[in-house]
Amino acid sequence: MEDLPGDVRLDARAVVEQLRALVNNAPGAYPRTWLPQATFDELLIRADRDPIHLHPSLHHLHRHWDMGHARTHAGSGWGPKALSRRLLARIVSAALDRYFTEEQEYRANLAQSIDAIAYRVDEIASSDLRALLEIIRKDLLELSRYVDDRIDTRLGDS
Amino acid sequence: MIARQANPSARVVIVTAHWGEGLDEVTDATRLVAGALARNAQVDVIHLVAPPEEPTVVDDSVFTVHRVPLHGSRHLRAGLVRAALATYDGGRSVPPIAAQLLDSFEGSADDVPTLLASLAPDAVVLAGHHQPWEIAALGERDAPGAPRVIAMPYLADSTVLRSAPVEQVLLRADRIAVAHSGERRAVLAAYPERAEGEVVPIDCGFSINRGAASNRLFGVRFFGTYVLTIRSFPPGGGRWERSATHEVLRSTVGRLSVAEIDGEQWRISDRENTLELPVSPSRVNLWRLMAHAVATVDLRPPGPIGRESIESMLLGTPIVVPEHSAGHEHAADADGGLWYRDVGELIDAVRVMSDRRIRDRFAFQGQAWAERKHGRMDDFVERMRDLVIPIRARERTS
Repeated sequence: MEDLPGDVRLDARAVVEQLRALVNNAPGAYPRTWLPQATFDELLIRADRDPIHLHPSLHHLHRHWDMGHARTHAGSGWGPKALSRRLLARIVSAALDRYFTEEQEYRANLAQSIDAIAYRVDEIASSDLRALLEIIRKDLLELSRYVDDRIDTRLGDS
Repeated sequence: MIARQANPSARVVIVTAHWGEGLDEVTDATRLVAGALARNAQVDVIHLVAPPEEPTVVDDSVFTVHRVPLHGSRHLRAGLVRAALATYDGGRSVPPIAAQLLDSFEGSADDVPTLLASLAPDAVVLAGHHQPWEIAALGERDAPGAPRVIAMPYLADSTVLRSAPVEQVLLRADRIAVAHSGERRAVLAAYPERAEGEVVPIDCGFSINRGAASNRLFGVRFFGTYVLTIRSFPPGGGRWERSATHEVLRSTVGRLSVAEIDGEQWRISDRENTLELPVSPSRVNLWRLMAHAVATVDLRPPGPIGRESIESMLLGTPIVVPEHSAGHEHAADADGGLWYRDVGELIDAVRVMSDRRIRDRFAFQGQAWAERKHGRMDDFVERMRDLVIPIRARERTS
């Protein structure tokens, strides 16, 4: 969105499509650091123990694994110091490009693995609660059928 | 068939199951339409009531309400089926078998034709697609002496639109009034035989108290820039059981604080603090939160009107709404906000809104559209008059 022109109408459809294209076309390059892929289960969130996917360290990992910005940041300023720093950065970047790419992939895979483990742990932790919820749900359905039948017979809801 | 009355003032009858103290958007919209019509006509409401009770007539504000029983309705079962359907996708896609089941549970309002004959209206508004009575009693479309019929189905599901009970309503109607562009597209797709000019937008008018909205709620200013999420409003209304939690949203939207409305529980959080807002869960207080937010994020199951989306745009706040909802249609028509398929896209959209230039552009575009379509009550009154009241009745009145 950096190149948003002056008074041109902003097309909501185009923005949504652009966002989706960014995610679909280059999932690795577009960091969704904010979103652990774990479950968003209300039941789990209200459980006695905090779910892993809400742990601050996991969020820290998601926010910081991506080096894309640091690698492409050209720096600012036109003084001699800034220019020499930029030149140095270019040389280092060119020399270590392969290493940085591998490092980026490694960090992405690490974040995804830990996320997947967190997801699995949360799933297991919530399965007992879900089973309990299912039993309660069935009981409530039975109760509602019973009440409905009673109303049918006693109060004429038929 | 119903004969037109000799009474000089125009008379409109609204037949609906959505009246009274209902929390749903359809009840809201029906009352708005009735209020607008009451400026130019005598308005009677035939309220289809379940569980069935003895027919009664009551005064409700300027309206005379005829409470008519839905004979044979099994409302508890219908409620259970609806709740089950709503669990999955907000009841948007209704399988044919479930539609049949619901139809059989809804009962029938056999007293409506007799009552309509005695009221002899110039026009009949069928608000809501549930009209379980003999529609043929309204006479043929364009037949001399037949009242003008306006259907407001509040429905964008093609399966249900083409079901037999809804079909008889929509085929008889002289005009079909729709709540948003998505509903219009769905109606025209289901009924290609209807001319485009016969399917018209309702464009409900919403009054906003801007003076009240300009005052922030107490304590909110200490939380800086915030995004407003609506999880459930009004209290007792629908809510998703599974959605992005307040904590997850707070930890993922960067520097923004998050204010949340969840029924009667209102709160706002930044990185470190949470304040429970000790306010009554009223619409004015909703506006007071909405007017100062970066964006209004709707987390609720989609409703048929999208009222809060429109109000947010009227207040100059862009919206982030679920895809395939009324709010989505408004956001797309107005270019006044974004929509999401899942939690990831929701947070993407909120992050986009944190860019001031984009947010301001969406806010400006959305407000201009909302003002033009929904902001002027006088225009809404005129639109309803032109849509519903036949020209002959208007001439007779004038």
